[in-house]
Amino acid sequence: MADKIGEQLSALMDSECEAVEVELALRRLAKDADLRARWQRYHLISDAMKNNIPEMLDADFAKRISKKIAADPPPLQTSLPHLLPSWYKPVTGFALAASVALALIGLRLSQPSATLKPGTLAAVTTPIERRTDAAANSVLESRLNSYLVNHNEYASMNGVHGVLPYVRMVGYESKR
Amino acid sequence: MYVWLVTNPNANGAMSFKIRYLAALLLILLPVEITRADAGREEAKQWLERMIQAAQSLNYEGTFVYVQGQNLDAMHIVHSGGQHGERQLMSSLNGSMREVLVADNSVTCLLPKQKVAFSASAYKRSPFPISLPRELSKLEESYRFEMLGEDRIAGMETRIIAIQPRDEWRFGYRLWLERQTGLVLRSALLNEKGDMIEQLMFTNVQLKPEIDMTLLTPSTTPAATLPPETKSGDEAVAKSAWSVAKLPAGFTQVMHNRFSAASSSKHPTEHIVFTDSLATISVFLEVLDGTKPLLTGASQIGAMNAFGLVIADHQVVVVGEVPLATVQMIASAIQYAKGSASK
Repeated sequence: MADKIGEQLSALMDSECEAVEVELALRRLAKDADLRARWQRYHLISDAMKNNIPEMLDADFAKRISKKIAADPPPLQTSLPHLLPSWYKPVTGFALAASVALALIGLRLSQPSATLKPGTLAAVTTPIERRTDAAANSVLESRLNSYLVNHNEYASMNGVHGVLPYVRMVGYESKR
Repeated sequence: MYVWLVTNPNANGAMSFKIRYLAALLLILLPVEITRADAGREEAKQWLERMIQAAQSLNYEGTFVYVQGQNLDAMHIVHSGGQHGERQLMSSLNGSMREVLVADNSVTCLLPKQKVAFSASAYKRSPFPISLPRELSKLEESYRFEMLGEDRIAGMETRIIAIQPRDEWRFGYRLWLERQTGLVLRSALLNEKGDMIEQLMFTNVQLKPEIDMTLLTPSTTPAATLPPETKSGDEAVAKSAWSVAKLPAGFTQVMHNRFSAASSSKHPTEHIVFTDSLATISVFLEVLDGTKPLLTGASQIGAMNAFGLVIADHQVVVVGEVPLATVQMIASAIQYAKGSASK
C-alpha cells in the first residue's frame, strides 16, 4: 500500500500519472501531512541528484506559505451584498489563486533556477528557499504582495473594471 | 441684461415686456441645456449598464494589449457567457506563459514551470444586477458620466464614455464601448492630472454565436486540479483597536476582516476595505513585534498607490487605485485606541 503511494508520488513528480490518478494522489497529499513530507523529501532528493541544491535549506518555508494560504480570507460574503453595489461579484476563493500566483512570482524572481512543483498547496510553493542576500527582501516583498493580492481581490469584484483585475494578476510578472 | 435695466430706468413698460420676454426665453432655453447634459449623462449610464451585461453574457475571442507605465503586454482572451455560466481563458502572448481561467465560478491561475491548477472553492455568483440604474446613480455622487464621442478600435466603431472624478480623491476612467454590444474594447485609467497611467486595448476581437470548449482549455495542461481547500482563519471584526477618523468624501467602509499571515502567524492581520463604488482602498494592520517594517512612506505599484507607516509597533499599509494624496490622507487619519480589544 505504502509502496504503491510511493510509486504514485514519483510518477506524479515525473508527470507520468493519468489525470484521474493525479487527482486522487493530490487529494491524498492534501489530507496526509506525512505524505507531504515525503513528497518534499522526494523533491529534495531529485534536486540533490540534479545538483540543484542551494547552500541553505529552509524546511519550514512551504509550511509557512501553506499556513498563509489556508488562512487567506475569502471575501466576506455576508457583508458584501448589503454594502457593495450589485455589479460587485462575490468571488470567494479568488484570494487563494491570486495569492499563490503572486507568491510564486515573487519567489521565482528571487530564485530563478528553483523549480516549482505540483503537490499539495504546501508543496506548490517550492520547498526549498535559496538564502541569498535578497532572501530577506523577498520575504518582505511577498508579504507586501499578499497585501496587494488581498486588495486586488476586492477590486476585482467590481464588474465595471472588466478583465483588468485578472490582467493585473498575471501582468505583474514582468515588473517584479 | 442688468446693464440694460439700469440704463433704461424710465422705460417701465418696455422693461417689463423685455424682462418677461427674457424670462420666457430663459425658461425655454435653460431646460434645453439641462436636458442636453442630462441626456448625455443618462446615455452614458445606459452604456455602462450594457457594458456590464455584455461583459457577462457575450461570446468572444480576441487579443488585447496592456500598457502600464513602461510595461507592455499582449494577451489572448476567450470568453463565453450565457446560460451555462461564464467561462474565460486569458493567456499571455509574450514573456513566460501565464494563464488565467475563470470557470465554474472559480479562478484558476496557471503559471510557468508549475503544472498545477489552483482551483478555488465555488462561490455563488450574483444574478444579473437588476438594480444597476439605482447604483449607477449612487456612483454619480463621486463621478460624472459623460459621452465623449466616437472612435474606431480593433476595426470596430465605439462610443467613448468618460467617468470623471468629481474631486481629486480618485482616478478617472475612460471606456471605449463597441457600438452594437457595449463590449469594452479599450479602457484607460487616468490620474489626477488626466494622464493615462494604465491602458488596455483590443487589437482584434470576434463575437461568436458559440465558443468551442477546446478554446477554453488552458494550453498549459495542468497535471491536476487541486481540490478546493476549506478555508478558515478569517473572521469579521466586530471590535477593533483601529479606526479611521476621517475618510475622503464618497468613500465608505465595506469590510473589516482579520486573517493570519504566514509571516506572522502569531498575529493576525486586519484588513479594512473602503470603496466609493468604483475605486477600492485597503488598509492592512499588522503587529511588527520588533521586525523590520515592510513599507514606510509612499510607494507605487503598477496603477496603485501605497503608503506605509508604523503606529504603536504596527505596520500600517494603505493601498488603492487612487491618487497618492488619498492613501496618504487615510493613513494620516488612522487611529489606534490603546487598551481596546484587538483580539
